[in-house]
Amino acid sequence: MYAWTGKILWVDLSNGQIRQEPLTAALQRGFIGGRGINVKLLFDAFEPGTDAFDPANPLLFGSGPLVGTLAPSGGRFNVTTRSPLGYLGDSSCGGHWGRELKMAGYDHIMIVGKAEKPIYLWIQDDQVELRDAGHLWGRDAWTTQVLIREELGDEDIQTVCIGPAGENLVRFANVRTGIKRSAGRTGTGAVMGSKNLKAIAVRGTQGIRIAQPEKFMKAALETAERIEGFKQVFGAVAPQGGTYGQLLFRHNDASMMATRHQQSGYWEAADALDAKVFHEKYRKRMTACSSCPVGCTPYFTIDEGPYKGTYGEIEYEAIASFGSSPDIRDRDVVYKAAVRADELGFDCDSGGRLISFAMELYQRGIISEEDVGFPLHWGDGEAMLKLLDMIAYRQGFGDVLAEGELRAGKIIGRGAEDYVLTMKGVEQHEPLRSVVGHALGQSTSTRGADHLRSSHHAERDSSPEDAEKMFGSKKAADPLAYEGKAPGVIYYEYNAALADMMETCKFLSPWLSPHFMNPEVWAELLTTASGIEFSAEDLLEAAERVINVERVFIAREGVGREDDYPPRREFEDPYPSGPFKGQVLDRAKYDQMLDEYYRLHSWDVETGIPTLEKLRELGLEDVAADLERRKIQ
Amino acid sequence: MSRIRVTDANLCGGCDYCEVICSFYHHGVCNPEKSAIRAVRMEPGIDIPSVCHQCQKAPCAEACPVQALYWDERTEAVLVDEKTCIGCGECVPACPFGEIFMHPEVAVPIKCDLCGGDPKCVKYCFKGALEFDTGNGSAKERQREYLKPTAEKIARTAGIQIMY
Repeated sequence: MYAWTGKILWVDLSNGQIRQEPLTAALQRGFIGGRGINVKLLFDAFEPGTDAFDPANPLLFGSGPLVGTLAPSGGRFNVTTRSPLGYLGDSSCGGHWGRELKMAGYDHIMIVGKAEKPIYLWIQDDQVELRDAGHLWGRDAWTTQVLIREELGDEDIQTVCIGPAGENLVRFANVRTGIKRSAGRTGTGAVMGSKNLKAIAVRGTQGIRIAQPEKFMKAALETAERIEGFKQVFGAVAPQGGTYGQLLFRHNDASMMATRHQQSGYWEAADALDAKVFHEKYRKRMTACSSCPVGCTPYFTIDEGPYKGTYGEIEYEAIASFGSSPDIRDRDVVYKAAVRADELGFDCDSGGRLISFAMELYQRGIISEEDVGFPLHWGDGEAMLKLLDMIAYRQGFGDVLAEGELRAGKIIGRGAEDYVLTMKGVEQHEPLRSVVGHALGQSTSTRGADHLRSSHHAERDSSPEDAEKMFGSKKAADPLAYEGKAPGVIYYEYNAALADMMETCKFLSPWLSPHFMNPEVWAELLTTASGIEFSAEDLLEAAERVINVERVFIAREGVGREDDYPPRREFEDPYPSGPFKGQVLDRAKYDQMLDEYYRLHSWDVETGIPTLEKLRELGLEDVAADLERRKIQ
Repeated sequence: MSRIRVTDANLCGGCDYCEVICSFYHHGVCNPEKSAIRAVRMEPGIDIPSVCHQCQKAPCAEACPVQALYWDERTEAVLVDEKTCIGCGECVPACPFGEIFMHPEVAVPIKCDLCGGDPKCVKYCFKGALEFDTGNGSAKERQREYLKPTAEKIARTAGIQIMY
């Protein structure tokens, strides 16, 4: 077997059964790897209506065929399950664990059942065992990894684990590896916690074989060369590298900066968190994921002040979550909050927006000091830091917030529900009024509010000529236009899916730019690595297949057209300030754009559900039959 | 003498590409366990590449009971004569730097051979964290750099125009 290892590790925690299953050629050819194969395995095993915390809910970890090879950024993995927050739980993660899993000889792990008491899985090549995790339960997501290395006596062990948030079934708890890498959104960590699974430790010594070494090496190294320019801007040598350095002002200028719970898209205090100061005074070095030429992640320490001694890594989402969204202007508080969320093990995007939700409710007098336990004004860093722990440990008001914004709104009542900003149950993290294509992409994302399923970068970055070439209309380059956006969203959807299936980084994919890796490059890399012929068309069809399976998965859970819209605020509350002051989305135009999106996908325009014809065309007879049988149309 | 040096350990981001390319180039597989160079990870945040010093009085060669390790004049690397090697593994604990390993499957050591004179890890390190040093290397450059302030002072007082 080349590129893939050819093995799935299957674990039943209820009875301790562990076995290896072969990865079928059908899965390889049809779904490639990572998110693609995860999702198909989940679909086949999952009985619709099963609760996310039911032991029968499968929890999948998936690496990809290019992981651990010379393919630049081949190091990621996906965690996939039925989400306790939304519907489809799926999240991608970087770092070094994905590679270690391949080295141990596995492409995927599928976990079902629930252990009687806390355990962790220890995988050492062919030796797999369940070990007692009683001494690890309660430890934070970083310390757990350190303790496991010490206990097992190998500094090269890579571990994924949950923190207290996952243990306490916080609905947006994440799965963590390294000092800050996470499978962040949709609460996969809570599912892991519900199974009493504290961690999966891996150490592998087996290699990955390459079918056509010379051709593969040539393709991989040429790809690495093309990344050089991007590296200069985004990577270690850049004065303001990483997403924090690059995105803060770009997002603010586009009015995409989450501000006071999306009441605005432009944060007037953005200078307070200027990345230049961060890189000069806090950042000590830049780190990389496996095989990645860019190395975009800043490792930092706080050397002075009340949070002196704090250390970790950080990127843009945490700045928006704990800075602009709750309107916190003290950078030390923001960095401290990011690290604390990483230790506690919950998604910064959901957590930060949720705290902002509470702050808006407080602003509007819907909740008071009595509900929270202390005042909760915009910009109160201490209050926010208190809430982080309260959420993770489900204490007091934290127990309400730990349910996620949608459920919290219902629990609080008193009109709180009118201010809930979620899409398919997942907290909205970016305001969308001035980026129409992005709004469509976020709202139609199969896993809920998300920019990583589809992010219409061309509407902000492209020239009208290029936009016309790519999407058939010059207006596709205008962020406020509704024309040419649906084809764009689909283009980004397929390429983001392919990045998740190959398990290489989206920043080096057409999700951002087609110059580094794209379907032609991926096809060359995968063909030469695996010895199996893949064309760009094969890969794009596989991506379409994966998205259709995801779409049917959520349809079976009751998701329909009404769930493909951004919250009401996006249509009704004009931006109060900034370069797009007064901007709102137009509901009628959005409706038409959504119709176009469904038609291009060959999905039913009224329900958003894939047609049986489309499913059969993609070779998904079993999925079509399932839909028919359940009479979901 | 020739060896691979770390230019600045701060530049290494821990991407481990050097490990993948070394094992790939020498053994046709992507396997850090078969790489001569290792990006040693000390989490959180520290990664330092480490690879054979190519000692001219190599302790590994001294420890070898059958003289299978020898210093090669052409490449200036310490090489393994695989036909002579008996796979006893005595070379491994002999290295004070921990830079020689036994192959996981075959009874020979894995150690850096400088790729015959064109080290791949140096060529493909994305961060410039490695250099191929074929002499006293940067010692002479560092010497000049260190002397610059003194030279400038002399030049000012003596009215000399420095051309460097």
